[in-house]
Amino acid sequence: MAKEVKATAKKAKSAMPSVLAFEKKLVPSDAQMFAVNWAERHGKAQGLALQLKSVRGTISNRLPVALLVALEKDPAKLNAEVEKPNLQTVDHCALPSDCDTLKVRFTLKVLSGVAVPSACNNQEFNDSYREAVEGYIGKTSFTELAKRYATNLANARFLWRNRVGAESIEVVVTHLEGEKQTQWTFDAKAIGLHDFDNPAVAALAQVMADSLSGKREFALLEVVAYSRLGQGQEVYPSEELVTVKENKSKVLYETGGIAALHSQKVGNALRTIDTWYDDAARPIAVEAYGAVTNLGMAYRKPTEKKDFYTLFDRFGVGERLSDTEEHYVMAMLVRGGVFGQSSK
Amino acid sequence: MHYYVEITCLPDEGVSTAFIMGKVMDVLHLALVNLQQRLGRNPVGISFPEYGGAAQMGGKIRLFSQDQAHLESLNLPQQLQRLADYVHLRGISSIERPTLAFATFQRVQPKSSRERLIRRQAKRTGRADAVVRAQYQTFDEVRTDLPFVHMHSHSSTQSFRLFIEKRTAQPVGEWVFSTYGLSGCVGVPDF
Repeated sequence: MAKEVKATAKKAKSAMPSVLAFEKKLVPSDAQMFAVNWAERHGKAQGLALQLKSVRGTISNRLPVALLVALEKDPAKLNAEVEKPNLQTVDHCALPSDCDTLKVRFTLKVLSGVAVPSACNNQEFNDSYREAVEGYIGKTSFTELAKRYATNLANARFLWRNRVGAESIEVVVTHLEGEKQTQWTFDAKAIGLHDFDNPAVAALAQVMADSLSGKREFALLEVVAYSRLGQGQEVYPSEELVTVKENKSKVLYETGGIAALHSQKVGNALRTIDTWYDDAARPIAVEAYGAVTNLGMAYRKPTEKKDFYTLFDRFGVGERLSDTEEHYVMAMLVRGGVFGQSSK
Repeated sequence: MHYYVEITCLPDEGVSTAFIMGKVMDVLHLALVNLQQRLGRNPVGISFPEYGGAAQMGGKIRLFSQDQAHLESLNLPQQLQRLADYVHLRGISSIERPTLAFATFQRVQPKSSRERLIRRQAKRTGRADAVVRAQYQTFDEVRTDLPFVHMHSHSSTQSFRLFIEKRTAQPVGEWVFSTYGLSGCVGVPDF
C-alpha cells in the first residue's frame, strides 16, 4: 500500500505539465455606475461622472534634518515652510442631490469547457485531468458552484462598499438568448452575504450550471443592481493604482466618462464562495492560497496542504479528493490562471 | 448595575472593519442626538473593547447605560438594520462586579491646522485676518497618532476623523456623555 502511494506521488510530479493554463469561465465586463431615483429606478438613468476635489491639507510630515538645522539659523524660514499650502487633489464620486439610488450595470458571460486547458504540453496529464473533470461534472453537474455564483449575483456582493448601509437593494438579472429574454428580480438584502442556501436563486443557478457543465455553450447575463443609499451620498468606484506620482493623490476608475468598477473587482466578488477552508467563518474569494489582502491573511497555507497546488497535483492525476476539496479545485479552474509546474 | 449592548463589525472580503465602524458610528451618533433631544442629556456612553491593538480601534463597540430603558429606547435593531450583513448586535446584558475597571473614551481634536484656527478665530472675534495671522505667527501645529473613526457629518456632508483617547478612570455617579457617547470625565466599564 505504502509503495503504491509513493508510486502515485512520483507519477504526479512527472505528469504535471510545465505549460498549463486555463481561461476564466466567468467573464464580467466593467460595471458602470448611474444615478436614479428609487421610485422610478427602471426608467432613464444618468451616468455618474467623477468630480475633482481639492483638499487643503497641511504640512504633516517630519521636516528633514537638514532643513531643521537651517531653520535654527533662520527662524523665518519655518514660517515659509509651514505656510506652504499642502494642496491635495483627489477624485470623488457621489450621487447628485436629487437622486437617492445608485444603479450599477455589467454583463457576465458564463462559458463551458472547463475540461479543456487553453494550453497544456503533456498528453498524459491532459487525459487524466479530463477524466477527473468529467467525473466531477457527472457527479455534481456544477450545481453547488453555480448556486454559489448565482447567490453572489443575487445578493449584490459585487457592489462592495456601495452595498454597506443601503436601505434597499434590488438586483435584476436578464438571461439574453437572442430574441428570448428571461428575467429574475432579487431582494439582495433578503438573500444576504452569509450563506448560499436561498431557493430564490435556483433558476438562475440552473442556467449557470448548464453553461459551466457544457449543456449549453455559454450564457450571457445582464446584471443591474439598484442600491438605495440616500440623496447625495458618496459612492465608491474602483480606485486606480497610481504608479507614476502625479499631482492627484487618488484616482478613480471611469469608462466613457462614467464612473465604474473594474471587471476584476466584479469577478472577485462573484468567486467569493470559498467556505471550505479550515474553521471558515465567512466566504472568502477563491484564490490559490486563500489570500485575503485587506486582512493580510492566507487561509490556505501550503504548509497545511490545503492550498490549490497541493490539491490540484492530486486531482490532476486522478487521485480521490473530498467533495469540498473538489469544489474548491474546480472553482479555481473556473477562475482560470497559469498553473504549470516549472521544470526547475 | 450597568447595562450594555455589544456591536461587532463583521469584516468582509473587500470591505474593511474600519469602513463599517465609521458607518456604525454615524448611525449611533444620530441615535444619541435623538436621545439627547428627548431627555435633555445623553446618559449612554460608548466603549471600544478592542481599542489600542494593532488594529487601533478594533471592530467592537459597546453602549453602556445605568438604565436599561435608555438602551431600549435607542431601538438599535431597527437603526442598524441597513447594516444587517455587516454587524452583529447582541441583546442587552448587564454587568456588576466589585472589581470592575473603568475607562474614559474621550474625543481629541488636535490643533492640526494653523490656517483653520486663523480662519475661525477671525470669524469669532471679528478681527482682521492679518491681525489674527500675526497672533498665530509662532503657532506649532499639533499632530496625533491616536486611533480614530472615519465619520461623515450629516450637517456639512464633510468627512472627518474622530480621534479617541482612552484613559483609566474611577466610576462617577453622574452619567452624561456627548452625542458621540464620549466623555473626558465619565468612565464606562472597561472589560
